[in-house]
Amino acid sequence: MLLDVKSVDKKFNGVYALKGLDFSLGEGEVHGLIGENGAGKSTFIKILGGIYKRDVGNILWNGKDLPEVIRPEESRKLGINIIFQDNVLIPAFTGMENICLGRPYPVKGGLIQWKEMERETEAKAAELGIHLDLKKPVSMMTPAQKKCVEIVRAMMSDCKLLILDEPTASLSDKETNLLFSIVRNLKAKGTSVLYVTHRLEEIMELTDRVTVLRNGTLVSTVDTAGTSRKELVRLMSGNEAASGVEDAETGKDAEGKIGKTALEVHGIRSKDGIVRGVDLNVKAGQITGMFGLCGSGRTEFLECIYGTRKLAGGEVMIDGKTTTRPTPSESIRQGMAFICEDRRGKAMIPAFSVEENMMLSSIDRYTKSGWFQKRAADKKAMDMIEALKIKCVGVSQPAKELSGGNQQKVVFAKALLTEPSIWICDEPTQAVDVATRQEIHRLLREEAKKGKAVLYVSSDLTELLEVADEVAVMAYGRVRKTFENKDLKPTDVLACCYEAEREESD
Amino acid sequence: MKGKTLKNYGTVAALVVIIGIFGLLRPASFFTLKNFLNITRQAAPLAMVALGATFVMTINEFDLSIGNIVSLGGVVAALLSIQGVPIPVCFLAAVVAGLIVGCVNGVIVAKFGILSFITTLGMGTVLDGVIYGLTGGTTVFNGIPKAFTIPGILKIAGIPFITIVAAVLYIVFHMFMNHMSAGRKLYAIGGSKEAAETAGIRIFRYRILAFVLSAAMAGLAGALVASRVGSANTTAGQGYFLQSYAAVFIGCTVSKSGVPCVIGTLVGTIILAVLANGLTILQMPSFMQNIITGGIIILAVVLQKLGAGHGSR
Repeated sequence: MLLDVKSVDKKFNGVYALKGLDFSLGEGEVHGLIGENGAGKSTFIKILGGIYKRDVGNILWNGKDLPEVIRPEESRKLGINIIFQDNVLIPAFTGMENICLGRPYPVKGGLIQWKEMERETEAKAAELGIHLDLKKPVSMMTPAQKKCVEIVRAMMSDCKLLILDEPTASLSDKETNLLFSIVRNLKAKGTSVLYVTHRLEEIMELTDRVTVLRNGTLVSTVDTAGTSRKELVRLMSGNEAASGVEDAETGKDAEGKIGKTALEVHGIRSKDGIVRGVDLNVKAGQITGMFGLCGSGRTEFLECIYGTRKLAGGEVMIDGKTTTRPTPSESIRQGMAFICEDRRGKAMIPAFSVEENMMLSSIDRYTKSGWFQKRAADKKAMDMIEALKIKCVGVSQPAKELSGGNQQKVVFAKALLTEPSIWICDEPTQAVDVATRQEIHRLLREEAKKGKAVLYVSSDLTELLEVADEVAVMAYGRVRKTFENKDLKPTDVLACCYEAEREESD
Repeated sequence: MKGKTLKNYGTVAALVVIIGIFGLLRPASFFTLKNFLNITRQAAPLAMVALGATFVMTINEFDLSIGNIVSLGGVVAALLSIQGVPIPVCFLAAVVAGLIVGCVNGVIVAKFGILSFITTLGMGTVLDGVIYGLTGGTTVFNGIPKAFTIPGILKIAGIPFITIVAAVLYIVFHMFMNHMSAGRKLYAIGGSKEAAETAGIRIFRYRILAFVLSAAMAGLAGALVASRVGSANTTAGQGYFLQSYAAVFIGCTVSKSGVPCVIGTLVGTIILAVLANGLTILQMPSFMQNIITGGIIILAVVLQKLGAGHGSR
């Protein structure tokens, strides 16, 4: 075996992110890694990449024990390369220079030999079956081309294990097929691939074996040929009985009570052309799901109606009041709460304390004639910590020290303090643990029951079908169709997305 | 809020040590009440300018035109006093001149998203030209009425008037930054502009506010400097830019999270003023004064960085 992982543990703030993980991977094997958000996938690959240090356990690489602490560059030297979901390329540099970053440039007499660099990188790309103009700046490349540049970069050194983290998240179908052929090519050359994804069809198509994680522990490693998608879903989500209970408890569609329209948008277009005319009604008392492939403009649409992205046209109606130029402060006053996708960048200030973060949107509510009512704010923050079961040392603990799930609860507390009537949630359960995820679902379900409106954007279709009363499908900057979530199958939704894609490419 | 309590005593301890050393070396001339009051009088204008710089640095921006605004404040006040304008109005005009410049700086930065570094660099050059136009490039001192110089030299119960002004401003703005909603919003913007905006804070107006406060402080300080020395010119404010930012940087070391804070800026200003005073009393040549002062600034920031590396990851 190329890689043997034996009972590895990793804890963050006393909570297990990985527990007793066993894992093995052979040479030239394509191995899938799946699991829900917070299952420990990224923790695991970051341990392999030398970004995190394991707490307990052994890792054998080619039969040799790896030291407990390895640095990312050492891990790379061993032949482990990770390609993360987010591009880490320098936009202004050409493809070939990006490929050569971190390696000695070909130099003669102190001058960089650009021709030589071009030859080297293009030869490597051709070898991998990648055809791409590497002299183009990365900023002008499509997401798929960028991915290719990263793959070439990884393969420039002697790469034995390539880890791909959600590589198709931003790719179209056609590009995905291209990526698949590159992966098969690598496999044929004896390179092992660890393939992290939440798309089961890719697992079925591409991998030899697949490992399922749940809650930081290994559920099972199975041969892909001997399993089915259904089986994998079952393994990922745990026992089916439990999820059934969840449904009954949240009382999905309990009374079929669907209120009147709380938020109405017409012809929303963003100035940058990503959102191209969205019409949508969000009704009070229910959860409206929104699904779209990456790049469909979901996040951008939410930013448009909340007021952090410039509009080129369209209007937002709340309570009969129409605005064509929303701003965040006005949206909040209208009762909107925005849980944004970029938690650490936009939803909170990591260096600030729990209390300060919760108060961000409510400073004025806790101000009397100019004076901030610190004591009242502290008390409220403590109430929130209790109500949402936030694990922290106290109100003054910096938010960055909290786990992802608890950070997200702080973000929800911030929103709750503004007493919203319309929730706009962008991937609210992204990178949170399973328990928090369920708590967030329950919270939003309760809010809906109280007559609030919830717009719930997620790229996790299974999740959406679990929580939403109806599902709006977004593609190419427009809402294509709104399905009622009754016997709705993932394939129906995906078919709608792909149909849009076909129309657009025509 | 950040910096409400002194969490890092190192910088304050350093100040005590510096005072102690000078006290031991020159007990008769340095360690006297008279000299201490003298230090506060010398430090007061810098303290005001640095207070202004604190606001701009709190929102993570820079105001490089601050020194030029000091000059502008002095020139405006002095010229008006020559015209026979009542003295309080002269001072008010200096503040208003600052307000206007700060407002322009703030609007350009907040509205057009231009880097404050570049905006205020350009503004500084513009002001240089404006002042030259106003004064013809000469030092304004002929015809300045006696009354104009009173605020700069007046003492109340033995305490210099400008020391009192600076002290009042520090108390007011300490409360402002730590106990009023506007201050908290400035800190939030400094923490993350994007997060603050998403949270519904009107970052446009608060970013402008920071530049306006900064420039108003500089304008007032400029008028007081002109009053104290009885003259005004283009270069009067030159030294204040670097000194004030040095004071804020030293001050950042006082707050636990390394953000600017009013008390910290006060400590920073006093350190700089005590060094200047003490080294002069020791008859240290000015080049040595520069080396020692600059070295201490760098040392303070490096120590802060090392300290911060311990606590967080």
